[in-house]
Amino acid sequence: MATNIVGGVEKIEIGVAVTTEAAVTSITWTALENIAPDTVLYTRNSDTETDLIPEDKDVAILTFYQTGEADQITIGVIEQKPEIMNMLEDNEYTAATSRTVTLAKRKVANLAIRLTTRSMKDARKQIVILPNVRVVTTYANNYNKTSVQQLLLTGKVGSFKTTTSAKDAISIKTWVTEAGAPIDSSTP
Amino acid sequence: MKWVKFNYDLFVEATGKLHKVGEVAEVSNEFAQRHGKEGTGIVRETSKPKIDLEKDAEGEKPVV
Repeated sequence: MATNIVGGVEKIEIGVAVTTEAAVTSITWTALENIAPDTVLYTRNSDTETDLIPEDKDVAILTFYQTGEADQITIGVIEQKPEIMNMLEDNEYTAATSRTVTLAKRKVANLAIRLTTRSMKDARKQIVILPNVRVVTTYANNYNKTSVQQLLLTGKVGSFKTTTSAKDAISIKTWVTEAGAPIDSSTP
Repeated sequence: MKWVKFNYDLFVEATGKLHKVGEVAEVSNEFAQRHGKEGTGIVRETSKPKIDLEKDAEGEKPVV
């Protein structure tokens, strides 16, 4: 029986966000090349708990659960390709002179993110699609001789509607072989 | 049982077999339905391929 281990980054691609599962196939993906080492993190925020402890007791009679903050993904990128920068920032780009004017008005980029993990075990990897993420971009690292400036993408994971049940969903995770072929894991 | 042609590669965990695109195989009705037009779209129904007599004599078994 194969194991399902998730780790590493083979590639990350971004495209314009969509809000339905059906529209995911229509996304045009652009590769985010040169991912900064050890910068990709998906944080699943937990719900907050509040206990109601009666005055005359020392144990909770009820626990209230409040939905936690949206999940978050952070990605560091070493390269600053204009095509990518234009998706992330409010830019006026002139390709003829490779000139970018960054406008003062801040931009929250609505992006779809597709992350393909490395194959860690049993020749299979996972493809994670986040169809609707609101991404803000900041810079990390000083201008110095021993490091490079990095883009730091911080995304709040939003929802999309599923095709069959029209429910709210946040991600699509698919296991594929090392070569990218789908896996039928139905029990015979 | 049905004969199908694979539109894409597909790894079937139960059999441990990687079916390559273009491969023609005889599969169960359930498999054909699961991956057919109304399912994942990975296979399409086709007719039984012409098998040479030598191979036929060996008695090919369905792969799924």
